[in-house]
Amino acid sequence: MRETRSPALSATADSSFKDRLLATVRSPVFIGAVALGIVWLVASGFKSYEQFVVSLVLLHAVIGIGLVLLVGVAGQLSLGQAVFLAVGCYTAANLAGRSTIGLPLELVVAVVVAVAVGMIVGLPSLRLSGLLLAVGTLALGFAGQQLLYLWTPVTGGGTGKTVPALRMFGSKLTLLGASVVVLGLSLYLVFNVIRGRTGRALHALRTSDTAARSVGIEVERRRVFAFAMSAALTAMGGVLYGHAVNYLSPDNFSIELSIKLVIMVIIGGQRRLLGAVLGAAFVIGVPEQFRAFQDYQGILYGTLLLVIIIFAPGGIVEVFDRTVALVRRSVTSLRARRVTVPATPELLLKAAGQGSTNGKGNGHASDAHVVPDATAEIIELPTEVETPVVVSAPGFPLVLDEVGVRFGGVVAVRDVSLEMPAGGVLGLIGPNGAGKTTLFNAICGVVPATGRVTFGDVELTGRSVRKRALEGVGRTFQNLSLHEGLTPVDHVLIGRHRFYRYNLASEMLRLPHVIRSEREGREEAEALLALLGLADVANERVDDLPYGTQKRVDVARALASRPRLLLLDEPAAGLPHDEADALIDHVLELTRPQGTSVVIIEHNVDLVRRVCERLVVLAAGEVIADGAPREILEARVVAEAYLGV
Amino acid sequence: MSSFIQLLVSGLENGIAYGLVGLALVLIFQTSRALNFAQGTMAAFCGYVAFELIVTRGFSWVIGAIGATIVGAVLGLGVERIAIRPLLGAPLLSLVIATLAIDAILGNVTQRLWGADVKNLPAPMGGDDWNVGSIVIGRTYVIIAIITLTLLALIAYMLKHTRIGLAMRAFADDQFAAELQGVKPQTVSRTVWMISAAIGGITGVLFGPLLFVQLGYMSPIFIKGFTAAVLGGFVSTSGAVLGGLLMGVLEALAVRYTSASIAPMLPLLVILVALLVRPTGVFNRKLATRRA
Amino acid sequence: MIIVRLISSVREARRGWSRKQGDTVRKRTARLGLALLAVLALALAGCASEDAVDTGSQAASSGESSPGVTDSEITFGMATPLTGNASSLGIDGQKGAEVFIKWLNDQGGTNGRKWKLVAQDDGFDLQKKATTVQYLIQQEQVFGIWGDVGSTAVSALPLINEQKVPYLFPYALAKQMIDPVQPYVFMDVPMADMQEHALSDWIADNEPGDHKIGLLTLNSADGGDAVSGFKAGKAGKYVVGEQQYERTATSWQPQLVALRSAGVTDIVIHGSDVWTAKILTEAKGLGMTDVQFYGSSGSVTPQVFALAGDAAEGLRAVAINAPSTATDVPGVKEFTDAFAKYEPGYKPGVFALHSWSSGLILAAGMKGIQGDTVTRDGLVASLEKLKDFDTKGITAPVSFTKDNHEGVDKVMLVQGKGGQWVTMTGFIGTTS
Repeated sequence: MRETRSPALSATADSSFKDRLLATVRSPVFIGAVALGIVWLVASGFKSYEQFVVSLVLLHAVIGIGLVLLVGVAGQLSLGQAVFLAVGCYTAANLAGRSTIGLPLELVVAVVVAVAVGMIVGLPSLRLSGLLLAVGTLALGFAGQQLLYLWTPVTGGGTGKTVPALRMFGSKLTLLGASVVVLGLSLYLVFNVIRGRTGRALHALRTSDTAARSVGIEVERRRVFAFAMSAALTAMGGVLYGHAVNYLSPDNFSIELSIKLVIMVIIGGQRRLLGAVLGAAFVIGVPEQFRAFQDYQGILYGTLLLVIIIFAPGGIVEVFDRTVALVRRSVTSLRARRVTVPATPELLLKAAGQGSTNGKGNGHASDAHVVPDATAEIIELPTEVETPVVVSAPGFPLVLDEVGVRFGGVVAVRDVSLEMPAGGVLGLIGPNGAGKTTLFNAICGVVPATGRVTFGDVELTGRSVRKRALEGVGRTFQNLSLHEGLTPVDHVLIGRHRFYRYNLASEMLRLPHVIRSEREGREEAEALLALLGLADVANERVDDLPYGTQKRVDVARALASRPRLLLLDEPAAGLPHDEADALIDHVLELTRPQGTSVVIIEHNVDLVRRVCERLVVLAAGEVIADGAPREILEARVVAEAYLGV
Repeated sequence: MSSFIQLLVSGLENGIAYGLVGLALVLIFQTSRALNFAQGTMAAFCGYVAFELIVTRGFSWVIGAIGATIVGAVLGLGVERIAIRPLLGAPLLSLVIATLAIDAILGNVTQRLWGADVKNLPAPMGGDDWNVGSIVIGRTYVIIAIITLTLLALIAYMLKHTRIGLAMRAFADDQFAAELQGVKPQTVSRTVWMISAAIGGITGVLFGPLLFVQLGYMSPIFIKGFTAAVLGGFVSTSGAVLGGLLMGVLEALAVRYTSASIAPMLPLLVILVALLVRPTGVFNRKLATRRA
Repeated sequence: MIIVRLISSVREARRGWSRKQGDTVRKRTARLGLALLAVLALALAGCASEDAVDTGSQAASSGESSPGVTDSEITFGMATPLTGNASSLGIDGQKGAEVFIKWLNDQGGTNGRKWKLVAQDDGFDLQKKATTVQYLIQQEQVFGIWGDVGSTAVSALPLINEQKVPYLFPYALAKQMIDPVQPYVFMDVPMADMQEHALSDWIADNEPGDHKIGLLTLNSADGGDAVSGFKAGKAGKYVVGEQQYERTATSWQPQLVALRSAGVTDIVIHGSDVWTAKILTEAKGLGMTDVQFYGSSGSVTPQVFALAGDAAEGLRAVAINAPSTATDVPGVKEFTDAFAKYEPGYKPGVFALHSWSSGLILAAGMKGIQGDTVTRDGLVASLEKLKDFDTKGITAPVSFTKDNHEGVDKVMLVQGKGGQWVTMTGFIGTTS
């Protein structure tokens, strides 16, 4: 996810009216509005058949947006969306003609009902995932259809129900106009959500819900929210759908329809709002184009689906991206290599002062001076450490009292007690399998544990991962738990999730204080990344970065949450010695002035000897030594534990 | 009382059929991590093939059934090569869409070859049902039961005692590691799809006389087989069969004692509850270390 | 060069899976793409409109024929399920219409022109029906829409009312088609409730004695109508059990067992020929051979016997046409002869016969258009004057007025004998 950063928002005195205008014109919101306006204008001149098809595409796009949010961003499968469509349809059928308000009332009621139903449907998602969630939603969808047959007063049962004409405040509306407006509105609201804290939280929980929890994101609530919001959007589409088909029958809201809606989004491109529109165009438009070959429709459509899903798994949007990239690359390669061409007005403005190589080899002319090869090791860390951004907070004393962890019959951690004064650096060492990471997990709340954990005067025992994160517990992960497909900037923004304090309504409307909050967050993020030498790769996908850089991203994310207690899980693992030393030194230089408590799990003996004030040795789940590094590392018992003598 | 028993019998009869389909689906999921949404259409295609052989060309029922099953296996091979192999490692939804694509293509092909009208397939070997007192037991269903149980036994044997079975288990457990050990994903994938499609083929033939061969006649069975597989947690073939039986009985009882509109919902709600209570599958005794 | 790059990027896609997923929302291409949205929507919809002539304006001024009429041809459109589960019905109806047209054209057609049919698939899906009807009206410029199968027809009503296009004789047992009267819709099939009501009356009038009647109906629009219709008739008081089944049913044993326990003497089934055949087979398996079964109009096809064999012997049914195999009926003979000539090898069913008989009505309506020009309103006026039109015995005589577009309100009872349907009664209506 990348955020637009228009110069106008830096609010410096010299941003002229012209700059701001330019920025507005280039903003996706403006372009989207213009595009929709063009569509509306042109399609109004169409004859009824084409106009109808365009309207259908637009209203399906509304549904698609909901699914992009649910499936693409939040990563939840739902094969029962037809139920929410039905909510919208039958709301339209029952309310239209009953009140002069017309469409707006239908939309509002549909949304309210859908949100309620969506939350209910979302509950199983807390326990199920992947295949089972797919099956569960499938079952719910089927049950929902049965309910439509039964609930005769509202749905007319098998007889069906006609939908009165589309009206608003007494006057007739065109389906096209209504669809354009509803789509525009939906695009705007959802776009704001996706680029706001909620969107980031959803991306985070999709890609690594453990990490998400560790920075204070309420994973469960967000999941249910995703279902509720996608339900609301699907229902809005349903209101329009009902008016489009004029007659509703429970037969229609079948599993096939639910699957068609999901296909729409997968084929279009599940992570992008544009994908919803393209997918809608595909699913509606392609069969209409195939009328001449209707005898072979199944074969043609199926083959097209197969080709897309195999060669462009990211959907039609991916084909788009690739084509654009190809065009760019061939255009750039036509220019001389080493010339630093002044940046042509780019559609995307990058992080302040830095060039960006957008993924593999997607260079821009302005980047001719930046090494685009992402495999190059970027080791330099800034030598001066002033901290314009707060990276952590003062620590408290940490007390572990007889903490134990069992997995079935296996005791992973046995009655570990230790006390750590505020602000120290403690090393946790021991042979493999000693239970070090498990102890971390116990401190963070990832695994259930016996005993007590107190941090200052806060009792962490029994509290959830999220709550502990809010109390200032931050950590890195042995396996990094990075968010696939996101950038370092995104990771830091996710890390500082709890500092965004606006509510959903403000987020959807992108109120000024939201914009301000986002801008501040961005500035802080960029500063933090600069501190960790990640400025050059700030806008690249983390998957493409070298391992060492990835580790730094993990650390950046942890620091972004301003931890009071920073748990570093094997920060040096996999790094060459000098890089590891540099990283740890750097982190400590950032945290020491704040007085943050730091605990490091490490195997690298030299490193822990150098940086830790104290070492605790864990073997087979128990503390076998605790004291100053020098003594510990010379103790026999420690050597035995490591060497198994 | 006897009508209650008859009810149970018809429930079990349908149930064993769902179990057989569920078994085939579990096999696919275990190896390809795919939900084969084309299973119903593949089975229907084989039913049409059987019709072609038995009715149009006059071969015996056994020849027709064997022919249809072989065609099924070939179909499975083809589907695996075209739609599944290129998507090795892909997320679930992509594989689902691939099978849906196959479903659309195959449905169209079937209609082009045989038209849309309904065909009749004779029942296997005679077709009279047996009577135990006043209870009627369908002959076809008994054959289905025999086939299902034999298959279960064969599969269990294969998994435990043959090389390919070992490869399948390793593959299901950890694709990557299995590959490192020399298990060829192509071989396992191919084998399983062939078996699963062959099973689909035989169900298409067996259900022909019961449901009459027409486009989409296997779809309801597929859906119910699907839910049976769920009750087995999608990992256990015997769990799928048990799940199918449970579903069949629940369905019969629900229709009888509630109304036909509520009845279809009941098994589904049971499944939902089962999923929530025991996501690893109600009839699954294996401790799941499944990758979702 | 670009091709090489494209191929290599495709190869990358096939090898490394997760790395190539475009997770990141790339704003720049998003914006480009949003701008291209306009182009896409236009392209998809627009390229279809190249050849379309403006058919938006309707009613011909005097001296101008309606759309769909050239000097030599009159084109009718059909939006019917040609694929999917209901396709056997739709295709049957399509074939019936096509054979009728061939037969009619051999006699010179009507209005000095030959007929033509454009049939498009609607997949029995409401959304597709809406686009298909629009497509037929605008792109194919049909004179009228004729012979659709399925209750999805209701979704076309606002369209045809707005565009003033005749919607002719759909096989759609949905009340909304005639109530309220739609000025451009003409029906020739009596509604499900009327059919069962007539059956109910007939049973009470002609089969004296005590009955215990069970109803076994599809949970759908016409299924519900069937139940209420039967109960409104004289034999309604004999109903002791009501069972329903779903479209996705694979077995009817539970329902049959329930009715058997209620001690039924008769069972009235509402459903298609295939379902009826299955039900009969299962009933026979359960030993319910002493029960008199009645099928609904959808079961009056040769298929029933092909599928159920002698389980269907003695089955009675309420039919809206004479059976498609009853060649003693002159209209049916004409129909089977035409099929033998133009579509040998295809065994037509009830929907084909319906297309044929509605074709006769439509031809009569077309011939009755006043004036020199062939207009839609002219057809409407002509049909509304039709009184007791005889379809040569296939259906009851057909009449329309300005306020009644229902066409017929009589049915016929038929019986399965010797693997065929034979007529049992003439055309009867309700007697209560």
